[in-house]
Amino acid sequence: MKRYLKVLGMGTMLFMAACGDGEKKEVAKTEDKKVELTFVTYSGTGEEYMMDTNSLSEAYKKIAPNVTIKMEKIPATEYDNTMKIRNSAQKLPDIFPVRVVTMESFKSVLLPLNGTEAAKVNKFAKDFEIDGNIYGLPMYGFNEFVYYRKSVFNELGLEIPTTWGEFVALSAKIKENGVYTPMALGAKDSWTTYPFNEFMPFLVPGGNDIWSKMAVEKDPFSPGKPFYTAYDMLDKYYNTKPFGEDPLGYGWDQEKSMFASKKAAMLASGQWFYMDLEKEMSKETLEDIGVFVLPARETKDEPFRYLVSAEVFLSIPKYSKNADEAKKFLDWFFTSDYYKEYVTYMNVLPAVEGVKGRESMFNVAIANIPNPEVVLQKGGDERFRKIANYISFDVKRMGQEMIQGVNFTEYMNEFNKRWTEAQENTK
Amino acid sequence: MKDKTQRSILLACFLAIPTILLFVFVLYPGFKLALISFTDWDGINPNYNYVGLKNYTQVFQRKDIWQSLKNNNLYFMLHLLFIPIEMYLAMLLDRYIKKSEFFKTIVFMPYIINGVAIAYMFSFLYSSEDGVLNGLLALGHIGKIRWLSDPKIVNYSLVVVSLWRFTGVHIILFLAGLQSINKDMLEAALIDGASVFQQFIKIIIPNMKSILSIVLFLNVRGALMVFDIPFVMTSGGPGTSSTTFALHTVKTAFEFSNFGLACAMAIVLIIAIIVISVVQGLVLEPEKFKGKLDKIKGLVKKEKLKVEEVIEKEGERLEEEKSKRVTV
Repeated sequence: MKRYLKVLGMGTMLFMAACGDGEKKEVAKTEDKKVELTFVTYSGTGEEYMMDTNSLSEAYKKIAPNVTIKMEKIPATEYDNTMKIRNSAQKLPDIFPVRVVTMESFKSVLLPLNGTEAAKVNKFAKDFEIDGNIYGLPMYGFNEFVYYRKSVFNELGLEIPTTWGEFVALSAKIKENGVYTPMALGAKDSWTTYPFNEFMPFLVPGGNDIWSKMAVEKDPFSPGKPFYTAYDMLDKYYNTKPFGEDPLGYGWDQEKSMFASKKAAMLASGQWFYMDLEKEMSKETLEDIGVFVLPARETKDEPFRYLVSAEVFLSIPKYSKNADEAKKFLDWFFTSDYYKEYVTYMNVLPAVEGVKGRESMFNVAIANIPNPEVVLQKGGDERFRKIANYISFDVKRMGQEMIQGVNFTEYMNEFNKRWTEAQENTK
Repeated sequence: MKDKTQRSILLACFLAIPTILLFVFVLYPGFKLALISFTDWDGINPNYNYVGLKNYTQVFQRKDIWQSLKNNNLYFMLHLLFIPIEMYLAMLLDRYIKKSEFFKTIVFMPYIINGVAIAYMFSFLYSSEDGVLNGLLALGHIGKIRWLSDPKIVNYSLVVVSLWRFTGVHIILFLAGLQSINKDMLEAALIDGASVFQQFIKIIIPNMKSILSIVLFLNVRGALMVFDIPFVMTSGGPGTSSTTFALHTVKTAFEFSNFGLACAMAIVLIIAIIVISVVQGLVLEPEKFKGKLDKIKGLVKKEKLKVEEVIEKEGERLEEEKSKRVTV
């Protein structure tokens, strides 16, 4: 009996040892399977933070030692074209951001992220679903502001405007003084007109989904329609020449310099611009900078609509060989401490429930909005994209044309004609 | 035997490699371009539909495309007007300027500088804020001119950059043409009392027709394909006022995800360049075309005669057979 027990004991030990070895081998196997996740982003998305200041790759290595995040930065102006070209060769990175306006075009090559942990915690993701699918998870949100020089406002006795009329009058008063350009705008780069020409139709009672609504209308450029109302307001404002002598003659860099050197009293831009200012101005001069939200309402009784833009929608292409690893990475990223540090650094609105961003003048400005109403900037549905592409509809370019001077009624009529023609040809 | 094999391998390589390269980088992309021009491909979606000639009809119907072609036309016309000046400068360099090597280098220099660098350089010159040109105007108490932001002026400002860049290469080509003219002819004309203008019209131009047709071809091709200068300096703006056809094509494809239309525009551009070049050749060297036409006519005539001869012989044979049958 003793002998049997001895044999049984030895057998059990051998079995356990074998099992132990097996487990060890399994772990080693997993660790050995090295994965390289490519992550491409565009400039201005905190890439220097993720690549150098607080390496995202190193942070993730602590969680998944076998995964290396290979990051690449592309200039923002080249980004969309580069991604389209890479997609045509099926060479998109494992993780890459898609902009809200190109999401509709990219949806066919993106992996739905519906069930992921990252999608569950992302507070913007659901709002930007396309055909019931979440194709991208925004890294953060932005508010849009008018940056102003406090000293100029004090010198001229100006107050923060709360209606469009007050805002126009404020610009006129700065212009009258003759020392400062009321609003810096480097419209040589057409994109700089976006706080006005892209966002205003959302802010007048246009709503989150104004583009998709316009797609089914025959004459969205007619009086009474949100687009017309917004552009009529802008046309009247532009006619007061608030942007200095030659706004179409200089671009974004000069616009920034004008504001930083106090030649201009105001500059309209997103929250992201503050990082640029921090680089250009000393701490003392930075204290002279204040922000307010562009008031698009005509009377004080109306709700004060302000825009929240969700930005940098992280996506995974369908043909990614590391799709599962990429999903795991996104799950980690949005729920990690790294994300909290990242949004604090970026000074933006966190996209994750429960995460608090940096306390700043931006929060104060938003908190001070009377009768606030949030508007989300959506990119427009498939129908809208088809029409827009057919007529090369570019609101930022329209901004340039309006600044150079157009006959507003004829301009809007022309767009109505082109819109109807496009609707007929893109059925 | 060994040498023969080596030679055969070498010859096969010399033939095969360029053929493969031509196929991979020219013919296949060209074929694909033509194929996509009949689709509604958005540049992203793997699926697309064939839409027949819809894209081509759009190219001819859309106002914005014609507007961009109008801008191209300005490049073409101003370069065309500049050709006599270029010829004159070439003549000066050839005849009157001693040690012209130095000047030739200077004249040719803009062509070898990177186009983007040139565009940036001129952007600074034209800058309405602190540009050199407006600085000079200020010295003469003249107000600022909005070189790149006034839609009425912007295209002229851009054409000047193009002229500055390409005049040199035209001058060098003309210079090569001038140097190939037999000097005895010019000396004889001089002895006969021909003025410089008469020499120019009667001797120089007729002897430089081939160079002139090359320059004109370069002008047509260059004018229709202008891209880098407006792209860097104005991005086609303000609005669309300085958008050229090539710039419009790129924007149609990448900004407005309309690859089908963009490909159709590219095909139309290729056809336009070929057609204009042929027409230009017909105007400039009609005798060359006449010669070719005569050759073709001659060939047709020869073939016709051969056919007639065959028919005649066949007729005779049939007649003979018929008469034989009647006799039997």
